[in-house]
Amino acid sequence: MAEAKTAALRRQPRNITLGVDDPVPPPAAFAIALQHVVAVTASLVYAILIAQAAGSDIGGTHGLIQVTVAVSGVTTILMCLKRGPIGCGYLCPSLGSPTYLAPSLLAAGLGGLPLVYGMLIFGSVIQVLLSRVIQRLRSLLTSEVSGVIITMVGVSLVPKGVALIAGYDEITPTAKPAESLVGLVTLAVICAVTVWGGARFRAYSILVGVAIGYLMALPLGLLAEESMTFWRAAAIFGMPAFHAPWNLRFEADLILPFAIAALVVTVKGIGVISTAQKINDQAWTTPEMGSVRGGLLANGIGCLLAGLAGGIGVAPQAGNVGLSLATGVTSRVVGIAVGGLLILLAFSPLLTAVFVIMPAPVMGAVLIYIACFVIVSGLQLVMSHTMTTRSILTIGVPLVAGLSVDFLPELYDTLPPALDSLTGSPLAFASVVAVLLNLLFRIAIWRRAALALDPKDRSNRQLSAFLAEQGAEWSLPGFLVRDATETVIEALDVALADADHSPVALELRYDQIVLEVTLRYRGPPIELPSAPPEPRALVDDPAAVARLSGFLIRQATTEVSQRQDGEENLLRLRFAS
Amino acid sequence: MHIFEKRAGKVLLLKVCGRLYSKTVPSFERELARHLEGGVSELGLDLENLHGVNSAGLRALQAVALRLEAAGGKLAFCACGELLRDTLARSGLCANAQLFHSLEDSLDFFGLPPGDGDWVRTQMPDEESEVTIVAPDGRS
Repeated sequence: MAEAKTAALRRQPRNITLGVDDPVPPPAAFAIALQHVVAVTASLVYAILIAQAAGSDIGGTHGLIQVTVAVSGVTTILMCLKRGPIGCGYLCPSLGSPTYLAPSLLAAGLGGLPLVYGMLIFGSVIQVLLSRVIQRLRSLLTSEVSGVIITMVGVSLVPKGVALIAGYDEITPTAKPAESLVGLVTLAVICAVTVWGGARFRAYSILVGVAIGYLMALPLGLLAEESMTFWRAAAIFGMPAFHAPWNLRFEADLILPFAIAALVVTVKGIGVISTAQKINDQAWTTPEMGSVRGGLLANGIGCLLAGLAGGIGVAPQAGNVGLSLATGVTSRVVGIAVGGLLILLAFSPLLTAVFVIMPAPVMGAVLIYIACFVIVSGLQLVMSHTMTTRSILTIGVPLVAGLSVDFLPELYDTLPPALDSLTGSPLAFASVVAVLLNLLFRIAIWRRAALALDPKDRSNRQLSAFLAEQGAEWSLPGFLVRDATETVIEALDVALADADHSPVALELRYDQIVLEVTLRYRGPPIELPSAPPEPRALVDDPAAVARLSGFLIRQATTEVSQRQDGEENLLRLRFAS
Repeated sequence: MHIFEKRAGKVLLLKVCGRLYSKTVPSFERELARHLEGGVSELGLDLENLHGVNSAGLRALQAVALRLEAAGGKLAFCACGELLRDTLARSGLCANAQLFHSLEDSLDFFGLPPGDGDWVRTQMPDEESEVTIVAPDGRS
């Protein structure tokens, strides 16, 4: 019976077979976690690029990868934590970040890996600080902004993924037949298993596709002899080459690029954690900021560890959240298994090397598969609210700005190198433009309306019609109108219990994020307890019903306050959209 | 508010449609009291078409829950809306009620065969006082 009750109380979407709180049998958790690990190997490319820019040899490169994998494992586990200030409570792996790539390449070229690590520590401090004040930045992070960021996260995976599938690079800028064949077949197999594999096999689509990709790559010569030799020489077990934390460098010229990167990682992190919340909750409407704050703090700590131990910057991965949506398994248990596997992997040079030598087209196929889910998830989020001209521009302009970086990269070449973090990445550029436009469009945004409720008509028809009318005129989300109407009716019930014919003035204000309802009536303040009354007291004690009413009002609003003005009480209810 | 009922021995299934709030609670309570006094000890409430519940409605549900608990009866809430489910979970009300995704899911709980019997509409005295909350997207 308890099981039926739990199942009914969850708000789990139908396409999620194992939700965030569900247990997962160890073999299944291992297999699904392995897919997440496979999916993240593409991000190891960033570590390779940074090591190359710093002039590291193959051993140094492998060391950087091992430490990055270890830090990613620890951060992924921190992200899963649900209680306490650290962690978002969701399966939200935090791994090598492309956002830190541009400033890290700059730092690697200027002062080698010690400068990369030093500046990464600076960036991590910014991230930790931002995680503490993010609640106050709520107005920056509308569903439009989050949706644009998530969409661009998916879009930003496309060039890299397609180039990897086709074997396209700057030296030979054409599609290569063998690479294209392996990449397209891998992608086709992953898609086929996802579509026709049913609930049982859908979760393993990437593993199946990658295995077939490796098998095809071997006879086609896409696993180079050099890679195979490197893999054969690797030891089964070995400590990662942790960097000495006292060997760090800092450079004032790099403060701006790393600060921008930290901001973008934070904004992107909000989007990714919000997506993790959204795919676990059918009724999701706005980010749960406690979880977001904990996730951002966990990631900030992860970047700090990376700087101290000798890894690259990490960030929550939209690709992995997209993968959990694709597999239908979002359990936190899988997140902890991913973290454990990554830590295990870091201590095995042989296993790390398996991923390091993954054929490029196979990596590309995984990236593109993930990008599909992320892009559509972002688009769903931006379209979840009724469109106004403001929201159309808040969504459209950043998308155009971000895509222009991919379409016309040379356009931004003349800008100062310090802005590379911003204009060198479609994601970073679109994110910052979306945040700024959202701020700009908040000028003169408050809309107001007032109503004097007929003291002789307590049927609530007038109130209901007024809120519906204003909701339609201001394009309020449907849930906001329903919540506000229910709560105002509840408030009037308790406020006018002893003064049924008192005049009531109602004022509405809306700023695209918050709907504020102010009720002015003659009477005392109402009780607004933060805990419900004892259930058994409800039946016989009218005061308990009034307390339940106050409790429901507090629960339904994001903020509630009241003050006495002579004989009148002003009750202010705020609802976030 | 409209109520449709179906009775099988001591089991009563009710489909509650509309809103359960201060204006409609008295007739809802009268209707339930009639059945409980008539020997019903197992009650399934289909809440799929219940569009809103306020504190007065919750008090009425809690009273039914306590009455059935005292009588050693059974209570099931079927197809609860998201808001009501959350409210019940947060407030600890109706803790003895079992929640089901649909009325069909609860039949086994009551030991009833699937799809048996016809629904009968109960005439409620306050049908005309119903308030419909219409959201901008046209859903109510």
